[in-house]
Amino acid sequence: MSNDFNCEQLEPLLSAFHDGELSEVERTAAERHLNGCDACKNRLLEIGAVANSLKSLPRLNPKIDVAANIESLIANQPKQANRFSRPVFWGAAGIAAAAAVVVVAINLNGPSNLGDSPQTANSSIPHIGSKTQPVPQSQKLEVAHSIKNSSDLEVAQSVDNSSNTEQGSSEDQVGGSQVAATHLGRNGEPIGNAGAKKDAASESHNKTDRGEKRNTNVTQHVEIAQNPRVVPHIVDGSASGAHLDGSDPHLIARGTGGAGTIGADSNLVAVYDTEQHGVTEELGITTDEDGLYAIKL
Amino acid sequence: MFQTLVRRYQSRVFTAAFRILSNAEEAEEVVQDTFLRVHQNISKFRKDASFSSWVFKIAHNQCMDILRNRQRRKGFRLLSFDPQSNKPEPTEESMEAYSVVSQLSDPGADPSQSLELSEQGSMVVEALKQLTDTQRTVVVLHDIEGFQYQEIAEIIGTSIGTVRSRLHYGRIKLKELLEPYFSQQNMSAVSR
Repeated sequence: MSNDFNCEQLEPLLSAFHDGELSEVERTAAERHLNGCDACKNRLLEIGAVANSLKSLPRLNPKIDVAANIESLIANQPKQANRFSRPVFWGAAGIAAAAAVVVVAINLNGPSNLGDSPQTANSSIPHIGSKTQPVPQSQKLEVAHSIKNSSDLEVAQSVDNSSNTEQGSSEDQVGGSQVAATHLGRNGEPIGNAGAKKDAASESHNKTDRGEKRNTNVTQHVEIAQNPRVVPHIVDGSASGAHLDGSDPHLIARGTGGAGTIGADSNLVAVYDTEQHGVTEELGITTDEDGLYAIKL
Repeated sequence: MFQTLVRRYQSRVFTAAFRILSNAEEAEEVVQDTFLRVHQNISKFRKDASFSSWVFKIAHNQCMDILRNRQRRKGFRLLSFDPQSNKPEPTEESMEAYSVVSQLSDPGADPSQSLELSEQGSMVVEALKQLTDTQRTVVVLHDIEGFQYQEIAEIIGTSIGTVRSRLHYGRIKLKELLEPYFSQQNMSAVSR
């Protein structure tokens, strides 16, 4: 009799006993207890009454006959690929936003956080040149967009500063603004590197005064001016020739994959660079088959 | 023929979804989405598994998505409470009462289907709404749809022990909620 249940032990098993879901051993022990316990027997009857009342609820039919319409529903449903595109998009946007925050944090650390030298981790990634400027009193962001030929694209943003003093990178001070330039070839191919020659058309927009030369084959050019103390916004690179006036300059240039966007034909969707004490840290966000990556250029 | 298959199961899926969600529109949405997913994934169905369990597993996932979205909206309502206002902060009891009232006045609930219920049926349905989502789901799958514990464990992705526990305590709560009605019934039976 040591295997028999007491009331407390049997109570949580009463439903399973009612439903025939106890093991043989449990069921035998439960039956022995129930034969001598009216309280548990009544409780079992109550559980049975509840279960029966639920079973008596009527079966319902939907107003819409899904069976009659299922073939048209199947025919009209979006393709599976499209169903997955949205989560990827938001995931990618999230990564891009996170990368932007990280980059801003790096820049807000000021001149003490220095790298040793500009880094080029991947030759397929565009190169960015940059310089620093004092804090502009009144900033005006300008996105200039010019297409040099059918496939080439140039997008530039520059700081319109009343003082407009271009200074060397060694003059990077707290609160200084930065100018970044990205050069992309057709199909996103990197053209040139930090030491390469700069294309003449790019010169007109590039505020770099460090004497860096760029490859003459540059076909896409992005200049980003920003105040590192201001929270950045993502700028759609497709804003052709638009003027963005306001106190909040834009930090990130982002390609949307369409014509007239940064990296329209390339992997690059967003670029950012920073220069501190003459050392350029270049960061970009690029696409791959699996999504987006924040990378150090 | 897929249409035949849908016709065979749509009423069961709708009934279960409606009892779990207490909303006819959402339950219809569950039925449609369930069979679209069944069609998309029919090749993934393991032939050794119960087809009805597989269909209900998909339907259960749809129901859970809807319940989670409701929870998020509910959380948003709580977060949007204005502490500057002079109105008292909502207590847990008042929120529970709100939940019951909102279920009773649920625009998605089909009144014609409620009218078809007997007095006992109406009492049971209202009591069922007051269970937790997890208890109600197990109670519906077992006592209304007739699945075994093992099948329910597969449908909702948990252990048999959890199913046993949720079902038992769900029934106990229902018994407490229906006690006045049952005792009244017993009194009537005794007086006859």
